[in-house]
Amino acid sequence: MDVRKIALLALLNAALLAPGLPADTVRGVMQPMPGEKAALIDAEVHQTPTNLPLVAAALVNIDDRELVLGLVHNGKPYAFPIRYLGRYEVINQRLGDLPVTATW
Amino acid sequence: MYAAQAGSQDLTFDFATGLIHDNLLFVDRQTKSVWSQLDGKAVIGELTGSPLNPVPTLQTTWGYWRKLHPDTLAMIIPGETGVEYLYFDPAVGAARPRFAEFGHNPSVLGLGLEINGESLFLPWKRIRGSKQPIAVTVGGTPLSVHVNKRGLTAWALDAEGEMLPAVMTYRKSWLAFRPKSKIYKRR
Repeated sequence: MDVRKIALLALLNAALLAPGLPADTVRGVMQPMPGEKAALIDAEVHQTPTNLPLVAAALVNIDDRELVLGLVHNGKPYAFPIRYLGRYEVINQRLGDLPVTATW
Repeated sequence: MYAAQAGSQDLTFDFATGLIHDNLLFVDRQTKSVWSQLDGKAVIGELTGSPLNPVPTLQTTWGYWRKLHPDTLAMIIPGETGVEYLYFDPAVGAARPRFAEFGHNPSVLGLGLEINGESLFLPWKRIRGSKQPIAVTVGGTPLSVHVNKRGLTAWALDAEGEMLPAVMTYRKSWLAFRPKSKIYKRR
């Protein structure tokens, strides 16, 4: 799957599946769609989750072949399954003393 | 993955539907500045030019991550199943997923690094069969690049064995933001 298909899927996902709150907007020179020229637009801003539950591996029901973003902070390992990251594209999480934003 | 801070200010980010170089943008709630996913900098708004600190992260399969870290915690979204994303690489025997259009063939991906202003992109196709570790120098810093074929992943360590921030991404996307990046070639 090429980068433009990825970007298009992300935009469609946000438009169709994002929480039902009215979208905020932000104005600037950006591409409205993949492959298009950048122009001055009002891009929709969709709220993303903060501090989702972190559970033991045994409680996670995903295939071993699926992708995750993994990191170790202060000796503790954490995984962010792409199957969930792809849902919102951006997720905010606090890992102990470190606030992180995971993007996909 | 970035530390969600600009200087000493904690930030919370939301998804924006605009793109730059076909790449994702996100917006912080505190200043409504717009940030580039692959560049890790604010590109529009009050914090333009401010960088985010990347956090060393491994993009890999769940099975490989659990092998490395059986005690790992994992993020979930309660009540949601999400959409499965699979890598497949026939060259290493990883099976093509059922819905291949939602899978990524790593042959178009690679590991991108930037240190002290110098960038290097290591195409997956060139490193997956390499003798390891691969010794490179980026920005005057000697590194070792490690590959795990079954985990469909690669990572870089410094001389002290500390993992460095790097990203598995499309070559085209990487070069869109770092057009002067070097491309790794096997000797």
